[in-house]
Amino acid sequence: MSAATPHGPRRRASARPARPSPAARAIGAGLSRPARVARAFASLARVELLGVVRDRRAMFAAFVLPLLLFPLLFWLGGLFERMGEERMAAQSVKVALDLRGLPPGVQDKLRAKLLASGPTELSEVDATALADFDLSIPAGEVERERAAALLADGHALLFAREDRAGGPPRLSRWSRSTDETAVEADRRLAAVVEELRIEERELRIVQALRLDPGAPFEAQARDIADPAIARGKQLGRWAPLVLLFTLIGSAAWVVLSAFAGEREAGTLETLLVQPVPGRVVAWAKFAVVVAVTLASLGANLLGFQLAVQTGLVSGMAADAQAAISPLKSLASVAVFLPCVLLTCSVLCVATARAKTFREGQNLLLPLLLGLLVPMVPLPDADLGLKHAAALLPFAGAALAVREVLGGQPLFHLVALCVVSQLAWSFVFVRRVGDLLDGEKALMAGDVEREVQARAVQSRRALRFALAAILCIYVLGGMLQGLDLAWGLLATLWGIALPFALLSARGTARRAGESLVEALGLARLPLAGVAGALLLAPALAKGAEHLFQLQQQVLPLPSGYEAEGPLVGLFALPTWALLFLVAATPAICEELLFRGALLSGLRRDHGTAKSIWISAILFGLVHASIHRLAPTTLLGALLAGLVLSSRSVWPAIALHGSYNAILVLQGLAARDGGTLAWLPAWSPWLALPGLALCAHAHVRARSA
Amino acid sequence: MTSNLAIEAVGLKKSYHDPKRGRIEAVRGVDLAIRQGEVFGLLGQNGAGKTTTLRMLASILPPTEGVARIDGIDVVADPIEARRRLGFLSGSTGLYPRLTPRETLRHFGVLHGLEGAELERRIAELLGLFDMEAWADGRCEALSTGQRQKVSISRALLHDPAVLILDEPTTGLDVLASSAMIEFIESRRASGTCVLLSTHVLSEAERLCDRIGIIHHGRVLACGSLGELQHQTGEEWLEDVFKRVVLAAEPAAELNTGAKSK
Repeated sequence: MSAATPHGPRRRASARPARPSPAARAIGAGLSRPARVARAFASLARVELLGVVRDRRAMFAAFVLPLLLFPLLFWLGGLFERMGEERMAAQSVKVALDLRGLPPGVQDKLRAKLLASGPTELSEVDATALADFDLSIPAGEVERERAAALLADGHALLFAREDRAGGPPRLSRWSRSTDETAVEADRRLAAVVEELRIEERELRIVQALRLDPGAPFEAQARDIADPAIARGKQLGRWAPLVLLFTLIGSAAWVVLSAFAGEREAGTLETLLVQPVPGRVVAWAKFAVVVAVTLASLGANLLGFQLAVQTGLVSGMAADAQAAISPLKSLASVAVFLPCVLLTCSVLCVATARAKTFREGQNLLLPLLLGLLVPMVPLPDADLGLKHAAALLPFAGAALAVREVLGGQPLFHLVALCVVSQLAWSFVFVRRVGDLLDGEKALMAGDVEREVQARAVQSRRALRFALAAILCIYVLGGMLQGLDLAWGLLATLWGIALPFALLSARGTARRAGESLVEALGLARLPLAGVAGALLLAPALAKGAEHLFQLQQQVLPLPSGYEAEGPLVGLFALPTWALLFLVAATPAICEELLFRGALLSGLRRDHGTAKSIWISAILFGLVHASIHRLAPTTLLGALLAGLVLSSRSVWPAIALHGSYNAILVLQGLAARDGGTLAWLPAWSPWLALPGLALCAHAHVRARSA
Repeated sequence: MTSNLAIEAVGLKKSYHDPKRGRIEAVRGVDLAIRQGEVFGLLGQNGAGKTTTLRMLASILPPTEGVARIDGIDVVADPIEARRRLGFLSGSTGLYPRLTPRETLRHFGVLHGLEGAELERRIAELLGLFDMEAWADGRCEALSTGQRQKVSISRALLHDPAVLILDEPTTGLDVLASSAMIEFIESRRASGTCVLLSTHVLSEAERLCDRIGIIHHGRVLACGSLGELQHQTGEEWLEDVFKRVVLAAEPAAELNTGAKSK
């Protein structure tokens, strides 16, 4: 290595030996490339951090505010709550009475108790007009008017009327639930009446027996729950939400400052001509975003802890016994960490295109709402979503925190949450490095808009697919209502297939291809077809598990089979059933969704986008909430198969054989058995199947 | 032979997509050969492709086609090495508002691999050179336009680059600041740095540049010293030279556009 090439391995790649300027030779000559990159990373992070630290508003929002916010919030909340209670207790209520139906002694006791229950003003009325109403049915107009006239400016009416059937007199309360004072008056009335009823009853028993029978027992209750666990559970219900809110709130500002701020200051171009890869710059920024977010989250937790310690959180008085152990707190923060990574990366990716703060804020608002809406049901104690929610981004993290705080966490569930959060964050973190790529950063807006404007083929394919789905819903539903078997045939061959052909014909014409090419039928990869057939048993097994998993989240109504209406077809001969349920959908649905739609989408969109759009539409066409997720996943799998092998044939093979296995299993189960010819190890055939599919993929790429 | 060239561009092209106009060929084939120590002006109207060309040379944007070399180094194959030999400054360049000039210089010095005493010596040198000591430790957001310009220039010179690329360096500057800029460029010429600058201000080009390239619709239509251009076109003033070159190319350029868009 000569002095002219201080960074040998990298430089050897350039064909021309360079003649470096004197300065270039002098600068950084003593540093290895990794060391230089590390120093650059540190300097970039430092500058980013200085930008945040020296911004008073940001520091206030990220660190001072949370310390004040929680104590203030809880203090005010508690204050209002107490004030409300006191106000209600001190509330002066006016009660109208017609107690003539009660013995005079009881009347007096009732009046005395009412007066003792709080500031109460009593007045006597004649409520005979209300005697005729049947209280077992909701109040009508006439009843309302008469009661209102009697109430005058009072809040509640207590009316003792005789029972027509000769039973004890009835003491009924009339009030308006829309009036806050009336509700309080009614509450007091109810308590007094019930208390008096019990007292009077005991009195009568004593009088009748001429001795006090004594209480049969005294009822007592003890809570032996570990106070720490109890508090953990209480905290776990909504602490995760607070965590997420504060997390997003604190991350958003730093993200904007790191990416949109760079553009607004006009420093991006300068940064891009520095001898540091754009990737390093992006990662340094991301590191600061994560660090500041974590610090701010820490401040939030501290503020929250302060509020708890000072007894401001109602029902959580400072009680050493009930304190959450530091270990548990640490563990709950630890399981939340992947979510920090996820939030930061999502916000970075989503706002990296923003040219100004304002634009970034405009992008953030809908994003945050979109993120928060699915978390609204999370504080619900009886959330039945255990496993599936663990897989959701954000919600999974909240669930994990809740499990950990709530005491004995299910280890596998927490692990699942953490792993799924990590997986989600990987999807976004992976893209962080490319955020400051010159092409994207300076021209991306143009390219993106151009792609949208150009998406003629995909729009057309999408329109055809939507029209097909609509026709299948309306027309197909009608036909299948008339006769299930013939209706299915007509729907698939008569609606789905023509739409597929029409759509593909347009695509073919625009692209100058033949119809067969546009439908993806031109290549017949035998390896891919064989591989797809071998995948079918594993797919059937997987679907079974998926249904079981879904059952926990979204239970099927009883008496409803996963195959749904298809059970009605089981009376058909087996060959007809297979043609109807296996071959027909395999051909018609594949040509519509994978042939016409997917190939149309793929002309304008990326692989992932094409796969998911086509898969979701495929899920929707099955018109069942219970089959939506499984069929969407199936659609994604089939679409992936088509794109990897560049042919629809493997998807037809897999779809057909998968449906056939399901139907034959259904038939066997009806007869009380299982499919004898499909051994238990058959799902393992997926391994050679995948190998064959991979082979088909390699062949397709080289073709 | 190529090693004598500070900046070299061969068949440089860049196309991108615009939603309204479709495929835009911002640069349709630029060839440049700029020697060490030369001040070269890229003269063109707004939208002629000046900025895109300079960005490609500075390795900010990858060219669609063609080769660009800075000091003999291919900017696509080894952008990092090319950037180490390069100072880049554009008229729209900003500064980090919350850093001080000294911190700004230190930061970019580290990015260029400078460190320790060497870095501090270099910073002190530049602060002295541009008379910045008095306000070197206040935040950049409080600086005047001229002061910011000085910080930006010293930032670009920090690593003593062999090649300076200046994209419309006087745009947005007041009279004093822009004349300081011009003096600075002249001082670089004196020190033997190669300067490539783009401008649409003819007087600047006339005063500063050893050679001028007239760029129009993404092509360099004419290239040479002022004398050569005057001789080629038979015009005396650069303004007339520019008009003649551009107008002569206009019908051809239009024909070209028609053919491309079809």
